[in-house]
Amino acid sequence: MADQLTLSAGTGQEAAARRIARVGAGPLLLLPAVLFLAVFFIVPLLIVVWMSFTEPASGVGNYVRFFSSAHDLGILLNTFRTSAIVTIAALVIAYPVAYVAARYGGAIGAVLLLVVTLSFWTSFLVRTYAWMVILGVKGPVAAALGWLGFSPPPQILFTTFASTFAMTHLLVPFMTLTLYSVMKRIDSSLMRAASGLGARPWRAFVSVYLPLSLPGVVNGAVLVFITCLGFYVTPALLGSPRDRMIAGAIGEEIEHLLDFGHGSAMAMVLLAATLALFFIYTRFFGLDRLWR
Amino acid sequence: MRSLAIRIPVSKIIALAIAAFIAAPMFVVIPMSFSTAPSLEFPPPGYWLGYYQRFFTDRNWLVPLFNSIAIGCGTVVLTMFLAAPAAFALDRHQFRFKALLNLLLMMPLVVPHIVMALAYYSYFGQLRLVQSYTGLIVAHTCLSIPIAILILTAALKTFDRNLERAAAGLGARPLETFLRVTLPVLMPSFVIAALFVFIHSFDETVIALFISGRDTNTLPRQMFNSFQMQADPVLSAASSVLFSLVLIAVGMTSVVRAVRSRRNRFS
Amino acid sequence: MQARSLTLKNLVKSYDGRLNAVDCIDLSIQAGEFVSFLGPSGSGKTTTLMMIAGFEQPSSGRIAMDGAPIEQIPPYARNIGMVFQNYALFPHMTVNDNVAFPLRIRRRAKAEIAERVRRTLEMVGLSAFGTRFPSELSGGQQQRVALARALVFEPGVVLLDEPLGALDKSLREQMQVELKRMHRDLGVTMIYVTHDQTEAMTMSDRIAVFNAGRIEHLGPPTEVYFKPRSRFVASFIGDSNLIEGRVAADGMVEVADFGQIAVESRGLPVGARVLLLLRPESFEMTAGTEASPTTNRLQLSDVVNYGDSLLLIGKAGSGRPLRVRVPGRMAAAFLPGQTCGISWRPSDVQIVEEESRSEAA
Repeated sequence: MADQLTLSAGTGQEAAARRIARVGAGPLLLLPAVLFLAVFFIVPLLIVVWMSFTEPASGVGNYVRFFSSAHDLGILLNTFRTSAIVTIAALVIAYPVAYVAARYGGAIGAVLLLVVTLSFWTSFLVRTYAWMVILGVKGPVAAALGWLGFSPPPQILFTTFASTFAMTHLLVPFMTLTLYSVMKRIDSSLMRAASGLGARPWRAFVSVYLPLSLPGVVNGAVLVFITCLGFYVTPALLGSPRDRMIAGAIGEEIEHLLDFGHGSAMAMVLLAATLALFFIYTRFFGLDRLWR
Repeated sequence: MRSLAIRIPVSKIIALAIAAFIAAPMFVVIPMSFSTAPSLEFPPPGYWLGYYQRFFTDRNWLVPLFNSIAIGCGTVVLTMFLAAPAAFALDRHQFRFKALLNLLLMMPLVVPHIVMALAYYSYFGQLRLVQSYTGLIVAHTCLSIPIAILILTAALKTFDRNLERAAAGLGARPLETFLRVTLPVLMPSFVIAALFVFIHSFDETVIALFISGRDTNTLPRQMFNSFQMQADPVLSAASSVLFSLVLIAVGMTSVVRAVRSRRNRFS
Repeated sequence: MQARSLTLKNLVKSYDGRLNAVDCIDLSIQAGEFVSFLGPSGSGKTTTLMMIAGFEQPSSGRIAMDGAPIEQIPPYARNIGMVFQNYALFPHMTVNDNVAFPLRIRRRAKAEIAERVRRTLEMVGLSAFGTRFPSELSGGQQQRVALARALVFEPGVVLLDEPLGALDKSLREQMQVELKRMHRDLGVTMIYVTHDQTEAMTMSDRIAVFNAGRIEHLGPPTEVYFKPRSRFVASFIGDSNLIEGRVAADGMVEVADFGQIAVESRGLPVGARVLLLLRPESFEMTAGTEASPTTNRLQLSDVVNYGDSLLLIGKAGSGRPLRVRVPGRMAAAFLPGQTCGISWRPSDVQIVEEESRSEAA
């Protein structure tokens, strides 16, 4: 009693399938997402570009104003400087964590990754608030400083230090995860081979591990730096109003000053810096495959 | 690092100390949410559930909470419908301009939110979508599409195509194979993607600040404004609620991953 | 189960337009036969199997089942059972659901499905495992579920892609016996892809030896083993001594550094170059060491003891390398450095390749 499926397939479905195969199912499946982003992502961005060249009058006036304003350039410089500081600090802090998690794995690796992942997915807002509490006048840091003899305790909140410090803390998980993803691919037997050849632990680390982890360092540094450039929430809540970052300045234009031309120009400068760094990153990321 | 002499390497101690530093803030906020003090005081003088009570009964907090949940759900639905086919296209098909389109789909991850906030403020202003659910859902969807695609393509890469060939060989037509085999096996990854899209939308602050109105106030916007105006300890409760969401999501991810590796185990 | 025949005609598969992964395969498999596709990785055997199943499209050529062409028919309509190397069991379904899958697709009645699943699981010896999930089974058990699933809908042809590759040695041998038994009981046509020659030899009615996209020999195991038709087949299957020589006279071949070898009369022209195959186990040990068309001497350089057999490696005649196999119980008699006498029968010498008559000088 043989089971017989009709050996001729249903013609309707087959013809349709063959037609789709010719056009290519790939582009068809991609179309909704691409169209959506084109309409609701690209177009708005283009509007900002357009505004930067047409509000309040046509021309490059907004850009001229921006690049000739000491105040505006100061904001830009401050943004870059702060981002650089945060990136370096985050790198120094994150490296050991990523190293231990990647090199040793096991229970300690799992715990470290759990803490980092939880922190990574907790919103910037919540973690910023946590620092507001900790660095606030009635918080534990102030209490500790008071106990150490500083009376009244110096104001930490609403300073550049607080903002920079908090941003570093917020971006350490991101840096850690990026470093980890590269580090965990480093062959653990390489370090053992180095020590078998006579290298002391520190020497093995510097000569073998560090160079191999460099692609991760670059990836992490670039991604953290880019994120820091556009940071809004933390500087707005914790930072000093005198030491603005560019995102805050743009926000001010939208909310209070309503100078959309100026705001758009600033947004474009920020976007250009971000995209330039991103494209440099993608090209370097291609080069680091030499290590694989 | 003379780790040969010491049983516990110094690097491990340093790493754990840093991890404590990373985790520290939540260890302050969560106890504070139970604090009896009317302002941001640490350590808390006493403990009660009052602020949680206030959070879940005060209209000023309930409405934003509801809005955020609604917008989050809307974002998840829209994002999954757009991102799922895209993930399949990227993983399984070859076509011209694929690399370029892939880049386009990842763009929202790179562009600073403040720039998008400005863009949407003008764009939606013209379309009259400011102060509406739709505007925020659309904006959040744009931001979430890359995240969903990344999670789904990672899952698709580890999907055993032989399962689909086996189903076909056993007589299942393409649609049947998709519904009976592909979808059920990929379901956990879909759930994880949906979860993280939800969290991303729920937590999103910058764009919500500028394009949500009084009626479509989201929870992060409400919190942000409260931070600036008064130091209300209810914020600790709100923060803890947000944090517990993340805890649940990450917990679920680990559970799902454990279940999946048990399923695929070849003993 | 109605077994079906399968015919492959001029089958070609090329991925890049230049190199043919499968290069003009001609094959006729009778209903109920057990045929093995044997060959090294990349020889085209799996690609050919995939084309039969419908997962790859041939670049040209025809595939016919019971005479009816099927190369245009999609895989889900071919009614061919398939067992994958990694089993491909549906992880989200129980064993029962996995095996019932093809029947549910065919919309059979519930009662019928239950009965057939029960019977098929019994046949593979897994009656008690119906409610388990694949992840709870051992490799051998998963393999049997895969087999049950491929057989439950009574296909006319069953394809197996190196199904035993992931199992350990003793389990593999056990499964080989069971598979052969099932084939005998069910009578279904089976095509079995493997790179393990022992498997192919023990299980097949016929073996198709693949090399670089072509079938170099198609025949029963004894023929493939004792009368291989090419150098590749001779060396791929079993241990071999491949000896080049020239025809000195009818029934006699002259071999450099060795002497003369008597072969069966074939009417080959004098002077033609030939390639001879002498299996190591076809030699006998003799007392004398003089050279003749059926005897010669062997100077031992290595003796490898396999327990059940002894491999004598050395140089025969005036320096030609040779391998000889003798029963293991003779281990004490042979030591490296010794010289001993060997003999062979002309009927054991296989002429693998010969120059065509027009090429003979």
